[in-house]
Amino acid sequence: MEKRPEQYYRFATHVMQIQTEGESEEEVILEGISAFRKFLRSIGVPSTLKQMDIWEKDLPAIQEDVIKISFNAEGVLQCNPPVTVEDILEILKLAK
Amino acid sequence: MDAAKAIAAGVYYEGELWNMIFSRHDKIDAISPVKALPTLMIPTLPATGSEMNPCAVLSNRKLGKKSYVWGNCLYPKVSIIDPELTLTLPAYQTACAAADTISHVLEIYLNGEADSDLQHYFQEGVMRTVMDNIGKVLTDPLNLSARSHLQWAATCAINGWASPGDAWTPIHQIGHVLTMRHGVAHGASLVIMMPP
Repeated sequence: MEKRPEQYYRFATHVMQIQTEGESEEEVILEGISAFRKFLRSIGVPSTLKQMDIWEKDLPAIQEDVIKISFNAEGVLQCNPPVTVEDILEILKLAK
Repeated sequence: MDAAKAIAAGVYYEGELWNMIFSRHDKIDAISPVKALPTLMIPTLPATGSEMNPCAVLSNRKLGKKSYVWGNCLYPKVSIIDPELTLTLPAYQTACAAADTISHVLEIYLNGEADSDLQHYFQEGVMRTVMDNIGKVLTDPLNLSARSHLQWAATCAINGWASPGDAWTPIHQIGHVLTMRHGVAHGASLVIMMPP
């Protein structure tokens, strides 16, 4: 979100249909994410690692497998912005 | 469908079959198949989009890896996409499938080629279509109209129209590992890795 705020803003307004009047860019983005989270919970799919019995101790092995399987020779996951080794662990921790 | 694609290509493939699978960090270049038997696909789950693309995702339990094979020869010759076949899909699979469809476009929307106007509108259309219809299907599983919209959105999400450039999909990559190591359903693994 910090790396491509304009796209997250567009997601909030175009997809989650957040009203922008009197709101800062950041508020709109956060409301969009929050509405999306609410939608995902509403359809009844688990949304955290612990619901699947996956814990902090399991994360390094998961990180290692993602690197082994999907990272390119330059050591990143090729997207815009590129995803780094540290990003993977951070994303996993956010999903606890 | 994906197993059928791999088998169809495997018939003609020379050498180790797993060499057709992309696993780039190993620095082993995958060798895409160039010839396959013709296949006919009939999806019964509105999610993978395999019925209209040249890709298959395969799991290798021995290696503990889940990854991709691509090749134009993997396009099905014919696909019969009939949403009536999804009417009896249970709620959990239906919801996981919806999450998979959203993930296919959301990951490219947020992590793909920025300068792609038409594709961004396609991606938004897919996401809105799923969001507008998944609730209807969960309330009334026999709603054929809503089931149809979910199925067509799934097919169009990943048949190339909405996917510019060659960016990889970070949520899917982590999700595949959760599935292989911890047995998490594919759609659920994606939801877990989406914005917290």
